[in-house]
Amino acid sequence: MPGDIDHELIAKSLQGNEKAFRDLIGRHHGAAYAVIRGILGDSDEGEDVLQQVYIKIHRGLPSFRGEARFSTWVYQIARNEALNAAKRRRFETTPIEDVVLAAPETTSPERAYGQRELGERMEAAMARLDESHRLALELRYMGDRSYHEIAEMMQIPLGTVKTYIHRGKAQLKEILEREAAPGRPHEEGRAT
Amino acid sequence: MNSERIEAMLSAYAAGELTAAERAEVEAALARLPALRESLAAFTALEETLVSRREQVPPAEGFLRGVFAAARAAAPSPHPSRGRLRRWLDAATGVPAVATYACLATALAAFVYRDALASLIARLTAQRQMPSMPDASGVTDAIVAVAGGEMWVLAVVYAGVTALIVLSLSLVTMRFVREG
Repeated sequence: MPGDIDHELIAKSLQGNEKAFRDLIGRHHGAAYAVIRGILGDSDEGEDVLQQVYIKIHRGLPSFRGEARFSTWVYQIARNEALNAAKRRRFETTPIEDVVLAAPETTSPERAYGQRELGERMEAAMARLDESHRLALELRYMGDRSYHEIAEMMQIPLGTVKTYIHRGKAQLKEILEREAAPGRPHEEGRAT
Repeated sequence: MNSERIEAMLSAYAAGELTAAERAEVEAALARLPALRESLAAFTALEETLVSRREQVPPAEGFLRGVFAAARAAAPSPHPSRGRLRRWLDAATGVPAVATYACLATALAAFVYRDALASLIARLTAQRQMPSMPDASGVTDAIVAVAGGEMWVLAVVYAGVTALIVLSLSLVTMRFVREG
């Protein structure tokens, strides 16, 4: 079981085995990065936050009691660190809402789904989703987690995870289609 | 199928998450309602873009180098710079240790030269013409003799030496354990 592998790697890491810690982090790296991206969006700051998350995990590993899954613990640390960074940023830089409104405004319908442009527009569209929908989507795709794993990490029912992901994708499709349509006003604010 | 269920089914179809029966249901709906194909195309493009986000995850190794560097920086050095308290503790450990070895050496010398020591003490006490002089045939008697026959002095000396030895050996042991 994945949890058993984690526990073995944790035990070895606590004995000072650096390779075990590398393997342990390697198993959760995508998810940790996805959580941070889900909260902070596409910013250089995310990598600094991820560094802090891993330092916290390394320091906190002796106190990890295994009452929750390691993946849940990583999720909580990553989420807290990212939220703290977002709070700091709120006082220092442009709010995320303004960044979203400043995203490219026009694209011809023919090119709307071109991968590069779609990628750029995707970032702006992702930022307009509810945080829970965005986190579930990032964990599913960027973090490559199964629905069950996402449910455990976010500590929500499996059905809720499916709803978040389906609704998140439907919202993304709607936002992207609306922005690709010529002559139609852009909706301001977040999609609901 | 209502519109939300159709959307959910098309999204899951594009993601390859449906059972065979559900896929057949969607394909039947697509055959019946060609307008759904445009929506499916949009979900398929969205799925590809979302999956491609995995490529944006940077390798973990770069972050781990920083983690291990931070851990090493935070770990105590094998030869730490010693604080004032630590230096005092070391001195406190060292002084009793030296005293212990000095006591043991003195005791050994007193045992080896016990006869000569006893006669020396006897001569000294005789010169002082001390009253009720006990027979100073051994170190114990000599101490009692020097103390003027007071046995409590002997008890204090032995108790002090014993306590000093026990304390010193404990401190030395602790020091070895701590540094070992």
